[in-house]
Amino acid sequence: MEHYNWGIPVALDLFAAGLGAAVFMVAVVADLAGGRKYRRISTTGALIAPWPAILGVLLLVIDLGKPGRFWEMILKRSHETLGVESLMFKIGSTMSTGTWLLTIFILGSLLYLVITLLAYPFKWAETLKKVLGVVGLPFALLVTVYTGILISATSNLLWNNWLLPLVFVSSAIVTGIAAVAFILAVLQVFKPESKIGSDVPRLEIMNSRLIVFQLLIVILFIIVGIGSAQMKAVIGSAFGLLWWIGIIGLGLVVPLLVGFKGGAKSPQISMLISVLVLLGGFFLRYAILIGGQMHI
Amino acid sequence: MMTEVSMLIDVAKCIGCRGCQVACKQWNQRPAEKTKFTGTYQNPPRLSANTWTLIQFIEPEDYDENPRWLFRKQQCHHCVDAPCEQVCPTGAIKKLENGIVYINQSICTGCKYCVEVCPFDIPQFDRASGTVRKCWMCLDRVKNGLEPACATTCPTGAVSFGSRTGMLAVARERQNILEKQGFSTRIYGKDELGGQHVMYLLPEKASIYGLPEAPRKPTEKIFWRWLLGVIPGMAILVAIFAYLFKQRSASDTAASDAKSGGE
Ligand code: SF4
Repeated sequence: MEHYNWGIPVALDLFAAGLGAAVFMVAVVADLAGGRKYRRISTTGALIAPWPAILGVLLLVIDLGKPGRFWEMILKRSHETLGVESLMFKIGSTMSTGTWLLTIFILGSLLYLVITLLAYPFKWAETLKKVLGVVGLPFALLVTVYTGILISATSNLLWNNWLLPLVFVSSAIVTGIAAVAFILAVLQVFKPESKIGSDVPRLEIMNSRLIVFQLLIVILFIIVGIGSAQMKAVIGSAFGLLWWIGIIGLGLVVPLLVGFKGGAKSPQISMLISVLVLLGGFFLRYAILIGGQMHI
Repeated sequence: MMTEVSMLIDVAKCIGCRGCQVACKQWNQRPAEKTKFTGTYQNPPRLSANTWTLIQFIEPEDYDENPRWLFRKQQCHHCVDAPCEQVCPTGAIKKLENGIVYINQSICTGCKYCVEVCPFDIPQFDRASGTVRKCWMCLDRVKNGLEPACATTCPTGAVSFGSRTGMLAVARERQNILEKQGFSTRIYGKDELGGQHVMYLLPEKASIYGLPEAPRKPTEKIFWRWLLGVIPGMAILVAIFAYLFKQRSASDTAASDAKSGGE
């Protein structure tokens, strides 16, 4: 088996970090747009947002050659004495920026989760939640962008594509919405008599419009990169099946059609559609990450 | 203050003996690699965590019309504007005053970012140590007034080492000689990526030697790429806000009638 420099753990991180940050953004935006009206969306989002990002960071650490040294990314050591000198931060290193963005995002989204729960009994927490949400939005957005910049600012012929960050950002948001829809649909299945899933069709309809945009960006991404052998391999070889059927067909086109038809007819179908979107999002990262490292 | 050092690789003088490869392994105590014969004398097939320099054996595409066998010594170029150093998140990669770019093995976490960023595919991940390794221009030797092991070994003078100005002067001299013999030459590394501390005197196009004609820092346009992600991202969020805001007053049932039935 070929050994990839950056393998599945990194693909999972790119997916999970973007997903968590996007879920957070969806929660905040829903809260701002509708307050109590969208409480189901915003609370669900707030409850799930930190965990994918935490998982992503753990995977990144495990994937290091020396996981025990992860803190070298936080603290700067002197080359002469090896003593700790200061905090480590390098604006030009996306790995470094990303470390900090993820750290801030995880802490912030955990706080947001707590405050969201506090906002149920305490009125004052409601305002605090809105403020923290607005403050957190730019960080969450930067986390989704970071996943794309990380691999696009390299010498890799497939990744070094100026549209790649946008591909990941829009995919993150699409999967983030699907994740919220998935949880709501699952709850609806378990409590058939409740209204808990009533926002799901709305989310599906909204997502289908974003998927149109996502498809356009993906096609542009292919056009921009088509000169490289790697791109041809990713969309043409055995990978092509995953790409066209898994990522584009099942992960984007099917949910798009369902959304344009006014949403799924049952929460069970909604669950399935959300899973398709989520899997498509993961395989998009996977195909690009691994495809770029194939020796052609 | 150390003077800026450089290595000059005069590829026209290389006879492909690979003495430098052996000297490098010996001095830096890198183990040998088990390889298979693949029809070329290039061996091992590529750089690795244990092979920091490698003679590339090239039969150019137009070999039939113009038969020639070319050799180029691959190794770290020790760039002035080293992309690997710029992206290293731990600061393990350091550019020294004398121009050498080295990876501190007790700081490197093995994140492998430099591996993906180097335009010449030089740093390599060592699975045994969990860190990334590459040529360090025999820093221990250089500090003690010696030349790197490869330069000491080279029997033809294809690899020479000295101050940067000195090496540039030698390169220009040799350039004159080669130009007179009808070669069009290029001192690769004189200005590339801010200048490099390993310069190649090439009698043919750089791409024939497997070098990028115009190497680029992959982090060059990074700011614009951030913007290209952030601005459309913001637009998407605004669109979501607008949609949800508009739908806010629509009754719960309007959108969900079909789905959950009896609300
Ligand atoms: S050639 Fe590659 S590894 Fe060497 S200094 Fe330049 S970027 Fe770094």
